[in-house]
Amino acid sequence: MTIEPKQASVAIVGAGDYIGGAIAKRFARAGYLVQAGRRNGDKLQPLVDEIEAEGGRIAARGLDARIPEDVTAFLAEAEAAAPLELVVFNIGANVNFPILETTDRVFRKVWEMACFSGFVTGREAARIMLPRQRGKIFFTGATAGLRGGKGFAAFASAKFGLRAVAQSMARELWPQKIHVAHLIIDAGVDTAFVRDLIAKREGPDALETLDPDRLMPPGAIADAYWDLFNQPRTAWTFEQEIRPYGETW
Amino acid sequence: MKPLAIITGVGPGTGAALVRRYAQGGYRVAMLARDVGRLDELAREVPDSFALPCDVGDPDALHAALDQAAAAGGPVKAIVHNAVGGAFGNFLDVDPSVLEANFKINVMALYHIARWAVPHMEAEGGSIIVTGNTSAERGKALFAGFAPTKAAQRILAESIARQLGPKGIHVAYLVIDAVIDVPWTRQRFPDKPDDFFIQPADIAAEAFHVAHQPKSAWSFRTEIRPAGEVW
Repeated sequence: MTIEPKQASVAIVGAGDYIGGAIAKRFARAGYLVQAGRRNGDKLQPLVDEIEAEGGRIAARGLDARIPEDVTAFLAEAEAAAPLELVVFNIGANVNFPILETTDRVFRKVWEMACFSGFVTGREAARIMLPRQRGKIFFTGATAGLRGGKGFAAFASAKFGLRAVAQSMARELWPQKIHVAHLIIDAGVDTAFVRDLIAKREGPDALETLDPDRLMPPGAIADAYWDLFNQPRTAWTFEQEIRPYGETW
Repeated sequence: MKPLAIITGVGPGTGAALVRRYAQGGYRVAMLARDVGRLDELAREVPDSFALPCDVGDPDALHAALDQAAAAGGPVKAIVHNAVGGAFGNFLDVDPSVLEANFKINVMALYHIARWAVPHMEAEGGSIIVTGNTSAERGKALFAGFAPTKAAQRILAESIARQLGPKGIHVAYLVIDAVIDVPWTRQRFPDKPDDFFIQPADIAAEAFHVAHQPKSAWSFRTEIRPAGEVW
């Protein structure tokens, strides 16, 4: 059964400035109707403008993925516009605190944002896709999902949890023809925040002489998702890790 | 001049598919395996491919073949170590010499190949892909004559990857968690549907894909399996 991109939608939960936006653009370019959500809906306008200027289609709104009813409504809107072929969960919560400074509140909030929201998104995507035994659900992961580094008790426990959700879902849904995958990004992603950090730690000249392949462009992540999306059902990947060639790992 | 790909373990399944995929991708392909007849047939079928019959478990023969490949073929840009020595059965029945022989093919050959490859690849970069399966990650009963060597192979590839990555040489380990669609598996599983099996061409496509990832987004461990596989 073939579904043309023009007749299908792709939903991104956590369509931020960098990775989320790049994923949105990649799939819009391929002809899909993109449904983009992030907590601050106003921040989506530049993405909408960019995609529409290129002739792509996008519906965008504020979304609080910690609220199950909001996620359900968001995905229902996408599905109503065109059958959902892909849902990407792309919300992070990268914070670092020494253990004694990791408050109950921080632990719960990080878990809610990076793990619980992912679980809700996955479940509600599955609910839509299972009846037609078709579709893909991808989760953006991090090495913190495999390894608890110093100061990452809150973040790593949430990412470990998200990975568990993805794994459990994959084992259950793959036989029902729904491709669940977990993409681990082991990289400094090329964002203003990361560049600032480099300038602070290594001096302002560091940015002038920066190796072009040291940071990971958001587009590389979008391309990795695109490749996973196009895998044949006889050769699916659940977990893939990507890192710049010079990354210490 | 076309870049050269060297592929070991060129049998009729995955190996042949790798040869075809790399040739289609613009490489000249040097094919290493023991079965001369099969290699010659492939050399006739695939443009710009040539046969180098050898036992990769024999370091002297391996080195001779590698040097011959480089001399004949152009800049060495890609290697796929797909040769494998296997054993299945109760370890009380599997002779110790079998485990040692498998270690030579699965681990030592990779060690020799990688050491040989570095001077060829360090200037312009390149890729070394190693094919494996879940025996590289766990030791199931009846796999004691095989799994330890695949686990060692994976760790060896990991050590090499961490060292060579910053030098622009992409080392990756492809876990093929599947029954591969070849005549003997079809005989072994006569009642299974087509999509129970993984296609050699799918494996080759993934190996080629990983070998050509952009430098800002390399994978080391990559896995593929059919949707219905229990894992």
